Amino acid sequence: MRPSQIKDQAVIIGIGETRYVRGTGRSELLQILEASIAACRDAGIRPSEIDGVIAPGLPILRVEDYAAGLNIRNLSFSGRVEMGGASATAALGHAARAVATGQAKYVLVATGWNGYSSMRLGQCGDELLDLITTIFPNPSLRRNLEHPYGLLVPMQYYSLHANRWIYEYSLEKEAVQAMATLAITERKHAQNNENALMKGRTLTEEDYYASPMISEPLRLLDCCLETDGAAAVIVTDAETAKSSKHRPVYIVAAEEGHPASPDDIISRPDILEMGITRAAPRAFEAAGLGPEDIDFAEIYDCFTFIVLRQLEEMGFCKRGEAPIFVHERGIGLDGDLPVNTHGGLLSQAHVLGMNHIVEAVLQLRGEAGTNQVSGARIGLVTGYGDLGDGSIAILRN
Amino acid sequence: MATREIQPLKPHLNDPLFHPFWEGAQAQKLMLRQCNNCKAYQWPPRPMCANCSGCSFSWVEGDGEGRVYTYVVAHRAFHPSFEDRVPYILVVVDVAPGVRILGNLLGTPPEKVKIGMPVSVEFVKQLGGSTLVCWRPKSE
Repeated sequence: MRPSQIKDQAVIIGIGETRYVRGTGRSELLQILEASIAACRDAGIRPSEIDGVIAPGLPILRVEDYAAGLNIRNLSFSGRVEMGGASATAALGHAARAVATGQAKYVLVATGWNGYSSMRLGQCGDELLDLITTIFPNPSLRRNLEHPYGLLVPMQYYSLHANRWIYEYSLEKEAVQAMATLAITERKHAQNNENALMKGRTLTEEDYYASPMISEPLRLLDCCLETDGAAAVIVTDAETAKSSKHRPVYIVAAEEGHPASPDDIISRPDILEMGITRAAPRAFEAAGLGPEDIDFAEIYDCFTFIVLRQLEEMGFCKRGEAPIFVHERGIGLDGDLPVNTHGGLLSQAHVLGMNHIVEAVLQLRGEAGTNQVSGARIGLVTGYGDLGDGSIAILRN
Repeated sequence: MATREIQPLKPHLNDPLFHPFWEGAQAQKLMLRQCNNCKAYQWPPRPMCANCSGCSFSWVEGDGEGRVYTYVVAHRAFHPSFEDRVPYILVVVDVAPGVRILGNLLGTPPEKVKIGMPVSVEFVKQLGGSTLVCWRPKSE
């Protein structure tokens, strides 16, 4: 397949985030509007200038609600992306193509949810089933062949993947050690982030191994946080971005991918195949770059092990070698590939991956504070969601 | 106030795509869906054959034997009906070309479940009358 060519035609000119919290009385929409307004202010545009809107991540989010809330009068491009956690980064690609073709001038990509106050994936009960059948594809398959046996939440599906990976590459010890390293590294990064839930709460290896097993091999501290909040970005064309007050952050490539079959992980011929397996080679080809060119990576981290798997599928190392990569190359701020420099979904907040895009922009503007990767020129963002969908964006300054 | 009994999560028996599977389980048979046109197994049941786009299917009985492709041990219950069952084991079993079926692994402590282990089907009656397709390690 020929990768889509948007290279350097689109720029992220605005970013916005709410405070990330556990416990809010505010609706998803209100928080999304707040983040969107912040992104407009950062971009130096009025909300009414937005003419493209994408609502990624959750079926409850509707473009019309965004447009009405922001008083957008001239909407010429809209879309919803339903790839779970892969949606935000996939939406960035749609936004880039829309501005590159002139379909819209300013595209808002905004999402958020009350992952703590209402849509808790860690709860136990009938409400959880309603939530899962809302967010996952093919509810009739879920209700028939999976729920009666107790296969219910995303982490249980993903554990089927993790255990097969561990088996095929004999990673019984190595995988868990690398998962612990990742959790600890992201927690360290969160200590320097004012808007990270886990700022002020350090994490040791002892804490990691003492945390309860939830879905073998995943412990509580392998799981993302449940939080409330929203984040947004504004994408425009490279020409318009020239008048921006910020250092431009170009979208070099943005691709999505879906494994076969995207609605079913159980009978997938190779359970290690993910959407990013297909998307990453396209993105690197379109960018004319390779993994060795990437200065930092904000990798979707709903669970620790899936970060390791994405590193492998993107070609940073071979399958089964992510644990070696993590320990020998390093994923901290002083490592070869700093990963999730904001603390990620594990230690900053779960904003469906929009916070990963915001952090990548901060890094490429040189505004990432204490966690700034020195000399960062090229960054990578990924998304992972539903039953293995994937997305990848390569950004540069 | 009377305490309400916690109901298990029942399969949706009247979903036409899955009805013959559950009817088969009730009769102690593992039924698989096969495309009448290309004869490929069509799994999980979907409206159209992914191999040839055929829309006509038959249900054929599988031999009920397979090997564990992967598994998960659930230590936390995400529905009240599983609270007295944790830790419980879910296995994905290779039963025929292109067909993997999920079920609970019976009679095995969590540390004994292994990928590749041979298993046989066992039909287990749920509270409320449905019969589930479960698995038990095959005696060597």
